[in-house]
Amino acid sequence: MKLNEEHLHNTITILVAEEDQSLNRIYKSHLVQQGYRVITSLSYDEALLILASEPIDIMLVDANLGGRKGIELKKNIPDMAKDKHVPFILMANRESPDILQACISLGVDDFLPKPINPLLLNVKIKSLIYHVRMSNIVSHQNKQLTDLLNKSDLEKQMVSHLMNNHLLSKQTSQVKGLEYFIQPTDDFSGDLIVARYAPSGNVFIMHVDATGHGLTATVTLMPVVTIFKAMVEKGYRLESIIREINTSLAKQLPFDRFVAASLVEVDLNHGTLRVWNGGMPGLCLLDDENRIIQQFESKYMALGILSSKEFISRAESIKLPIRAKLVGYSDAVIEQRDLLGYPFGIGRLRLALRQSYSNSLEHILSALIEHCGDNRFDDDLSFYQFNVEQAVQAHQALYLTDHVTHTLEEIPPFTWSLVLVGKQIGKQELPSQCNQFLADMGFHHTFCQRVFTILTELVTNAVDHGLLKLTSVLKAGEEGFLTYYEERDKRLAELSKKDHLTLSLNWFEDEQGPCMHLEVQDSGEGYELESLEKEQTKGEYEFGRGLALVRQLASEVCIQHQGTHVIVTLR
Amino acid sequence: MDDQFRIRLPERFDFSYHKTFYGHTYDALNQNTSQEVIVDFSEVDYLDSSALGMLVMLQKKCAEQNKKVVIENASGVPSEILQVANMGKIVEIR
Repeated sequence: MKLNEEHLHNTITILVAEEDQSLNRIYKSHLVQQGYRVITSLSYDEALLILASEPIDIMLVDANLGGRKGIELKKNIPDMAKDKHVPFILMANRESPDILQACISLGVDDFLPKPINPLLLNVKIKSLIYHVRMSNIVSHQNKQLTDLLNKSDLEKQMVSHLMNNHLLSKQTSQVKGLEYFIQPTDDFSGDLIVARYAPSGNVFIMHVDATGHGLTATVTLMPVVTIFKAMVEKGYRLESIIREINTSLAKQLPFDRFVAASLVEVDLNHGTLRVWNGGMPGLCLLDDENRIIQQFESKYMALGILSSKEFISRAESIKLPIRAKLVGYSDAVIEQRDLLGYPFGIGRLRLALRQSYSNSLEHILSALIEHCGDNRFDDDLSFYQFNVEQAVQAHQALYLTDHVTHTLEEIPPFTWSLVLVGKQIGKQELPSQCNQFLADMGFHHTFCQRVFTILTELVTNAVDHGLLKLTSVLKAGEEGFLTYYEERDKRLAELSKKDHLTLSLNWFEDEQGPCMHLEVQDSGEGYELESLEKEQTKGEYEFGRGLALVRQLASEVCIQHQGTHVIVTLR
Repeated sequence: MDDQFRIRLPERFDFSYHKTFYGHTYDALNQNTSQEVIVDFSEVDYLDSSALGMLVMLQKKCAEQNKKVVIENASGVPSEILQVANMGKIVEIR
């Protein structure tokens, strides 16, 4: 703030309390000449009245005010004038020890011996004005600072609530086989690991690292987590989820904010792992002796940078060995520096991974702490481990499904059917739509999951094998999955008016009680069912794959016309 | 060269540099002679995620004016970071 003298004088009001009228007039004219606003009083009571009604900046008070001591004014300043400090100058005939003593004990700001030296008065007033200004500025800034701190505290409480209830929800830790570690540098983290089960029991894991850290980074993650949770639970495909998050971030975030992310889908029914990595360090797949058997490097840009047109959501897919662990970490893990400034580095990380026996997580953490000297890391830091075998064991328990418990009174009978033609077949996510429909109709979560899992198998068979005539043989070999999915996309784009896919759900009651029919029909030529079924049940995941899985979950399965028409009954 | 605008980055290219960087971005956008904006990484030995954010911002703003962003002389860890971020997908890295 600039201390402009003229401006200062104009706004400064001085109260003069002096019982001698002529002196009073002299002081006033002198001070007015200096440019101050002056209010005079001839007595103690008058001075009190003025103090109570006028905004006074400085008091110039004589020691004797008609029998009362001027200094008492200092003690009895009216309440309304108390909220700011009003400098008090006492004028007295001589510097008697009592007066000086009183001045000190009452906190009088200055003392002027009478007769008053005008020059001295000027200097003292100016210096007091300067102090008043400064203390006003300081108290103003103090108030602002306190307000800001309060506001920031409220905001922190709010975000902390969201962080604990929404971002770090308990469900992630309930995903079997997953262990994770997140350490923010301050209260909020720009790193986050969220995992969820899809209705089919597939595990989705999202690991994100937003630009920057703290509050602003956490805020960026809100929409990401919301979309992820909602879409996984509704049964959307990995690619659709990634695409939706990117689109939403690209729209919402400023150019210089984005979210590096890896998204993983573990398909426990088919033993496949799908990974999309945009800007995160490579995820490592370890075998049962902790050797790295595959790495999923960042192939794409982070979420929220590219437009939907430029964005590629294609995930890498591989057959997942059952005795394997997937490890993901944020770049802060390898960037942590020791006291000499050397980063932890990928070499130390790999060493820690190799040495781990049961739990890679603890090994990584203790190696990091050993490297840095303590556990105060200089960036948000996170990593996780997903143990496939543990997940598979838990997954098997999922299929000990109950019978249908709903009655026709509770959910009245209905038929819901849909015919898709041509390119729409590739665009619609039927299992997910049915899942939402059934949930809305009031069916139990577990029943919806059962239907979702069955429909996923039936629709995939009808589309991939029935309409697109793809064979799983394409999936073999190093680039197998990539070839398969590329071919699949190509053939989906070639679908025409003559290609149909019909789906219907029928909820009714027969002599055996309430039941649900799921029917999927395609316009293809049919396929060799037996060879398909054989192919689908090979390998380590002897537990439920493809049609075998459908048979496991259904009460009856009826396959007609070379597999172009499948009716599944659930009771 | 006349048709190039050059931004020389410091050793530590991180959040502390953002004010200066946006100053450079502003300058790069407000001169009409050069179509290429060169971001010189030869001094850089550290960059963080907000640095990547600044580069994306520069690229987007430049693209709006049909200017091209080129990263030059990146090596070591910074070069690896640019690679993990797949920065090469939106700017040329020489």
